Amino acid sequence: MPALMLLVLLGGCAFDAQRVDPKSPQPSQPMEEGLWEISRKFEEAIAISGRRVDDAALESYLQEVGCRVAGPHCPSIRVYPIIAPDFNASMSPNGFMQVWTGLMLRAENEAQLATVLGHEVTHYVERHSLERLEATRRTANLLLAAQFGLFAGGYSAISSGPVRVSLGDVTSLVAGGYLAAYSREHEDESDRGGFDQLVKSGYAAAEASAVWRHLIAEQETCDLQRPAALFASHPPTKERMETLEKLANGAPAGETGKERFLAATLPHRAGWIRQELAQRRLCRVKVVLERLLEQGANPGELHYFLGEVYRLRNEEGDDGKALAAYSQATVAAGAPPEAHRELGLALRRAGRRAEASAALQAYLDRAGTPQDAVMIQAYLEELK
Amino acid sequence: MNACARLVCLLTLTVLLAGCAMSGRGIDPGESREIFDQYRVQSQASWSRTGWRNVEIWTVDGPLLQQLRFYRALEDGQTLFERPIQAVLVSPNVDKYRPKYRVGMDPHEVAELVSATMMQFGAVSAESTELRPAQFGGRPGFRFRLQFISQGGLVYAGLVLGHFNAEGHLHLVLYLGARDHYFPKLADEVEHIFASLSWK
Repeated sequence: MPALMLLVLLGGCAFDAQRVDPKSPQPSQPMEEGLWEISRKFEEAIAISGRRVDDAALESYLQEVGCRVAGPHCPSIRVYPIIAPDFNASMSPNGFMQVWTGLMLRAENEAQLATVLGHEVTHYVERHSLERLEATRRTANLLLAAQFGLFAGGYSAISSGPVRVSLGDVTSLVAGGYLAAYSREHEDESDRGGFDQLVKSGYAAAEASAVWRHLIAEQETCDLQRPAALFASHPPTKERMETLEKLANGAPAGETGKERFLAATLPHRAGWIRQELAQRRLCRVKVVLERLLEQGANPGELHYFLGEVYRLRNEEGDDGKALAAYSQATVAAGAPPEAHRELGLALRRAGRRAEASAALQAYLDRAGTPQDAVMIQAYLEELK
Repeated sequence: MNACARLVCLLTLTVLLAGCAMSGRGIDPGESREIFDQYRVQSQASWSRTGWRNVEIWTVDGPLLQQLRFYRALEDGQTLFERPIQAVLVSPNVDKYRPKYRVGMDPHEVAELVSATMMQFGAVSAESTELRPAQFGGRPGFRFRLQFISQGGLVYAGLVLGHFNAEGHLHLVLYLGARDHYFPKLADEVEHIFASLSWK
């Protein structure tokens, strides 16, 4: 009952922030000025940090896509590519957006990228961070009052067998659920707002749900831990995917922008895959690589990295799988010279000396004078 | 844990932990020091020394600026860095994803292991170069260079000397330092230490 009363109290305190005016983007009230100031300092730190991808062309490309979905808000949006091997993007209250390399690796085309950027722009335009701050502040105040009231009423603890939960914990859980639900509203609003911008910008509407379909596949295949639905800070991705699928029905046809996306991202893709491999979340990398292989760009590079996944995973039978993947890489388009080297090293480990020599020699032939040439020559001597 | 602090935390934490486990007596110029009852090295400079269990760490200007790490022979499944306490609290499964040494690795795989370890501990990029055969106390081994960039944008350089023993365990000496001053400051000294290495 106290929890219900608390929810009613919280529910009655709706706060609706004004949308950002594109002609005059600025904080709407003193509390928001603090948010903007924190964001400004954070942006300054990110701008000179090692995490910012050092490529003006990529940054300019992201800015173009961001502007396309931001429409009149374009002049106040700044998009930074950030080295971080996971699927994420975030938006600060002052229009500074981070797009993680793990997101760019997982997107298949510009429309999928624009889906996420449009979602983030909506967070900015609707001033969601201000609304969350206001909700947090009010909830904290009410919690204080509720905890005091419950304590004064003599309800000090709930005991259920070996598990003891204090009423303080209960009120925290209730508030946590409230705040998460509030956040879900924002996420839903941003999904819809981002989708509208996607369609208005001429992108293929069906690509919006594809983003979530791929994430679900990664999550389910690799049995990733997920928070309980009640306390999730984001709507369940299946629900998101289905909503976006429904919205796409009947939407006008648009472009995917795949060629532009690949031109901007392919030069970086190998480095981004290496970053993911370094995290050793091999199942997730494998799912991503296999999906990208279906898309067809530079298959040699993708087969090579699949070989790396098997080599690092090192489960029973993975030696053979790695060998097969490296072999496939060497005859496919876009294979890096390292595919020949890894094939040679795998053959060397398997005791197939003549084939190992041939592959290592192929590496030297293709790589010119690689940084590890002396080591490769030593292997070749040993294999004679 | 704040991502931008992970690399610094790693270096700091390892040294703090080490301080609890081993006395910090220094190394004097010209001193010959025994490493884990396995081999000896001789220094020309004056170093501070610390370490624990599987690693001994030397530094002149402080471990955040440069450090020389001697590893006891790494066995199957062992890692290059101890896990930070904070990482364990946030994610109890953190060890599952830690880059680990595996008996049977070749030098290329060791170079990748070192780079991946740096990236897991907060380097935004890490690259191993100039891998080549080298002597490790008169026994066949390998060496390579390392470069990595911290999340704060500071560039570090590294030099690694390795050797697989008869059991396939990995002896490793790892020298790391800020590239613009502290790494080159002791690079010749480290080369001298590498050359002085002799087995017991």
